[in-house]
Amino acid sequence: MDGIHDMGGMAGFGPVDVSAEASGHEWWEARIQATALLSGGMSRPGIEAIPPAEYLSSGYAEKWLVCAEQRLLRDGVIDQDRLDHWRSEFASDPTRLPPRDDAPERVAGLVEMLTTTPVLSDAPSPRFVVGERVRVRRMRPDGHHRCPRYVRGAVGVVERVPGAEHLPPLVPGGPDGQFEAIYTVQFDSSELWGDQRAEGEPPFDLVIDLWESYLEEP
Amino acid sequence: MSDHHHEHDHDGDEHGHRHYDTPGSRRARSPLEVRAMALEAALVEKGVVKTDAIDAFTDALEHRFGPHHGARVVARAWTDPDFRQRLLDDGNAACAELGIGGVEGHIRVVENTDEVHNLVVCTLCSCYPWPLLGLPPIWYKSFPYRARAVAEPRAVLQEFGVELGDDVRVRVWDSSSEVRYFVLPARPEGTDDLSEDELTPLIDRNAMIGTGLVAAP
Repeated sequence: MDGIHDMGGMAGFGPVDVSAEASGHEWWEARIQATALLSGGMSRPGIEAIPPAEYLSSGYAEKWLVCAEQRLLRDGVIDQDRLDHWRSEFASDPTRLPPRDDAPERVAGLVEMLTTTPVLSDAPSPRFVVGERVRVRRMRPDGHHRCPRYVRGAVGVVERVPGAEHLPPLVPGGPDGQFEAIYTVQFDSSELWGDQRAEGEPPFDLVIDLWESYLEEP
Repeated sequence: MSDHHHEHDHDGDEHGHRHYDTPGSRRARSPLEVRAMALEAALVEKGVVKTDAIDAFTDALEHRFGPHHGARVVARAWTDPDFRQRLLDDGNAACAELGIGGVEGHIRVVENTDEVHNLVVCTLCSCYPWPLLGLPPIWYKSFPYRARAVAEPRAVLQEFGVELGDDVRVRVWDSSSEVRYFVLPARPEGTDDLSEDELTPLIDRNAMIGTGLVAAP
């Protein structure tokens, strides 16, 4: 879906607030990220399904929270009345905490998983090779994808073939797509933005990973 | 990052802390904080997630991962040319030599030189090399950074106080697959006499994203 999350190249957001440093300025932010991932409530399609106005007005961790709530309620993993019950409890009593339920025998396995680096599979039979020119397809996909608008139609050069991945699921909780090569593709900035440049902004390189389905011969 | 979310748990958590800042504080909670706690409570009472799993995951995000790891990798690469080459060839294997790795961490290391300055962004969300740098800073997740880093990188770099010479080519990496990009900054001049351990504290997080340079002490 070509949603508000696809921000590359947009204007109007103003300068970067470089002083906005802290990773999580509220204590619950990292915790809700952990909770959303562990419960299966977090997904990129879910985040991207948040309506544009709400997406823009929500903080980063807030979007994870909203995404997880909606997904887990929709799938019947949790119940609205229990959510309402706990919200009321925690709002009215600042000393009240969530119930605790531990499984210490599983923690070591979780830590092992978290500290294990994912391995990218080798690309089965890549259609393009390093050094080859490729064009990003014009498209308007209905579901979730990882091909930002600003590279579509542009011609770049394959810089590396780091491996293969499944195409991401089109909808929250949906099945993974086809397993195929991903390509690290390098573009000249003029190919993306034209030759008219802001002062002090000489040509530069833009490099991005793209799935084989997003590419075609130029 | 504040430390106030490490209040010791009053009911004897063996891990020593429980990541809530509320016990004893008795302040009013924000609506989002209430919602986050309610979601956890609803999941735990259903047996969907375990509390100590959330504790361990949160601890990994906030403490086990972090820029202290990235700085070790950089300092080693600056002082060990063979390691530097292995790091550029296969970031994961080289990081594993130092015991560093984890989720969101299929690492590709890109090196700043006299000719090229690398800058990392994720325009679609906020992909970031967690094991090496921890959770991203707020500005990395911000709309201006995501929107502008791929279109006017020098203007963005100037906002971070980074001025590059005209002879330097900027190379922007937009993280869109499971590969996570990590910048090996240039070693500052005048640091030839410094050891790996002396170099490590000079290397800050922004230099490993590309929004900073490492300065000599």
